[in-house]
Amino acid sequence: MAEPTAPAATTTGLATEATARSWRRSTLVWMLVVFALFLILALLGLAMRLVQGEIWTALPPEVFYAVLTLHGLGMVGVWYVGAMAGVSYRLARFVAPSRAVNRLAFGGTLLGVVLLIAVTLFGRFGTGWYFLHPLPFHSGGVWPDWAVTGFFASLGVLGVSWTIWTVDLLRAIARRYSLGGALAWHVLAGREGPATPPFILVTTATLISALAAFVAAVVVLVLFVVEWLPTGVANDPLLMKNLIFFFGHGLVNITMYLGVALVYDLLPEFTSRKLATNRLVAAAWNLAIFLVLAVYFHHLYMDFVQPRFLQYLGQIGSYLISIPAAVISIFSTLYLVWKARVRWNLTSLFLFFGVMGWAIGGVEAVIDSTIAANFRFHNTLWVPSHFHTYYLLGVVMMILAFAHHLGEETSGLPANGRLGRWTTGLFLAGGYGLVLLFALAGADSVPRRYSNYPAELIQGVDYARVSVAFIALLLAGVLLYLWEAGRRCVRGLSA
Amino acid sequence: VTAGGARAGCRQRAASGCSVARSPLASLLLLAAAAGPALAADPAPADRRSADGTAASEQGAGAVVVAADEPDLPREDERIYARVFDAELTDAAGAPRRLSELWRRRPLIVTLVFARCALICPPYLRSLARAVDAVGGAGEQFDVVVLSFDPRDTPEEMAALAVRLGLDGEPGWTFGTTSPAAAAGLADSIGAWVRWDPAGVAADHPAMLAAVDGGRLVRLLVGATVPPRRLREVVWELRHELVPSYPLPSERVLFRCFRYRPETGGVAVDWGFLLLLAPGAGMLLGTLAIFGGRPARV
Repeated sequence: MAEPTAPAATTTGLATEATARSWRRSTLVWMLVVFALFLILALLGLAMRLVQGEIWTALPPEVFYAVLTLHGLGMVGVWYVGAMAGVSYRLARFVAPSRAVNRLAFGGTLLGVVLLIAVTLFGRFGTGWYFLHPLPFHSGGVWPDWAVTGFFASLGVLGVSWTIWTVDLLRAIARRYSLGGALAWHVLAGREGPATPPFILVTTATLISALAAFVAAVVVLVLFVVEWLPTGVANDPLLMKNLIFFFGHGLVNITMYLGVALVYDLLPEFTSRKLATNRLVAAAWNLAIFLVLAVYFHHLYMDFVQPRFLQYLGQIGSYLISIPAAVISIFSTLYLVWKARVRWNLTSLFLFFGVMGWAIGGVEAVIDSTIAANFRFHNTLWVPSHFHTYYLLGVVMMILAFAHHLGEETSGLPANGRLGRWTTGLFLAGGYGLVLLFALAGADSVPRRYSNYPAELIQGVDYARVSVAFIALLLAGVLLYLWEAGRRCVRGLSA
Repeated sequence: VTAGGARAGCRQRAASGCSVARSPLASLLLLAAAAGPALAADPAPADRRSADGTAASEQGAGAVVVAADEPDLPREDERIYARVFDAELTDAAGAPRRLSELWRRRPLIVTLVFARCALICPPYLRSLARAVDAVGGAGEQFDVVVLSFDPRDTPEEMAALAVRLGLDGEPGWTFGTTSPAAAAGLADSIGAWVRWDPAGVAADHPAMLAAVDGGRLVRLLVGATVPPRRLREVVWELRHELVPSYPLPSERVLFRCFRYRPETGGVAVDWGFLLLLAPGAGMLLGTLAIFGGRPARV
């Protein structure tokens, strides 16, 4: 395995100390915004479990669904931008992304988030994060027309700014690397050539996949708007569902892969071993670009009009994608720490357990993508267990690890080992308790997306009540983390 | 909910689904029924109240009565999983029963009619009987309960109705009568109503059946005829099996990805499928545009 090539200073985005400081500051601001939104959205999650547990009865169902929509869409968006900001910062050591585009993405994200908060909390827009067609147009008198317009405007602003951001990062990579170089095709072919750092390989493969997701978003948004305008045109719900999950599942996948890119880049700094791109790693991530296009079909198993070959493709694709992306990354992580000298602190602990959480969530994903199992599980709380595992206990931990590392690096405050272990322990105990309760409730036939459980599903109330205790533990971990990382990031701003 | 739901009774109205009133022949029958004392065994009691509690004598005069507050046809989506009124009834053999006693044994298909109905009830019940026969499973997977909402009907008259329909002794079929209060409670819980004409001869009521599982309403079928295909879905529901349903896109749809043929269950690729290929194509073209033509150094 070859050492990653250190980029020449003149080719990077950190060409001068001033630009390096500017990148640090803008990334710190991104992270502080992510922290704030994470805390708010997590509290909304707690509120929903309190309502389901009948501990808090003052929240009417229509507000619950608006909160559910904000929590879901907000979390997906927050961690996407968190991952993009982190990757942009680390990428600037190799290539030169545009700081102007980074600022544009920041502004677009803030505007989009404000619109999203307005349409959900004030407009009661409550379609869920997947906004399946034709739900936005059928409010049942709950949300007004302006909320629908505002929602599409929010998606439009976010979509445009994130697409530009993605294209800019690819453009920056393309200025230094050829496509074959960035995707390590020479390694695949067994030819000699300049080393492709795993971080560059994973980031390039992921951003290329992101292009597909954003094209799907553009198509679905245009179709929604055409129907929303008085054109008399309607859309095929099945086509819209395909496109929405192409985009939605793609965005979640991309976020996770960007988190893994950060692990590839950061974790070696804490161990006595280094990672390099070998043929297996190169093959895995090249394959992942195409497999990402097929896996979303597992969201449509219930749609019997979807041709059977696409359903099988969804199952096979979901199985296959776990090999290149997850298994390779898990083995790489274990290789880095197994009997190695590891400097364990909050950053390395979160990176390591983030990959392990991703692995556990991945096992749930494979089960859920099995058609026979999906027919039983899909509309139960099993699914929230699955995506909270690989999100909250996977990619979220990876991005939080990056943010802590950035704060430590910029503030000069060394990591507190004792607090780091407490933070990790509370985060893991609370997080795994939360997802375990979701999984048990799912196995006990408790459906998802219910604000209140009827008498037949009364067991859902008990699961929700117990989970509140674990959420309290999780929030304690989050607050400790925010104290540790937040004050470092704030101090880093003035450094 | 099955389209083309029917109202039976003394009203002539332009509301959709009122198939009886739309037909000229039916309209004539309607008027005849309302005006013809020969069809009435005895006049309506002055204190008779319809299922929704409105006094028949308050509903206006004349042969054709249009209430100011015309109820809409019941909608399944508004009543799904509602608790069904546990009505007391007397079966055709004169034995007292409760609906809950029946639904604890197996799921029910419940319908409300009246024995002397000369309009929609007989053809509707014959259609239901044919559909039940075609689908199968009565008496094993579900029971059918035909209840009269007319307080004048006796168990003997309901037994005679069963005989006329050829359902006497058929497994799974229960004919019976119930009290006005129980009929009103049951009708209200499944979204039905009964409004008698002033003469008490004909009644405005929807021809409909309610599928009841464990005391909850799980399906409604509204319509003067009961297509076996629709009833089969109801029975699937009662057997806790997946009922596949797909709203066929209207002609206003620009693009559809797949064209579904309900008669064969087959699926064909349509033009909208190209839109599903667009993201992949955009990814490839975008990647080539970004990386192509740049003087990359590595």
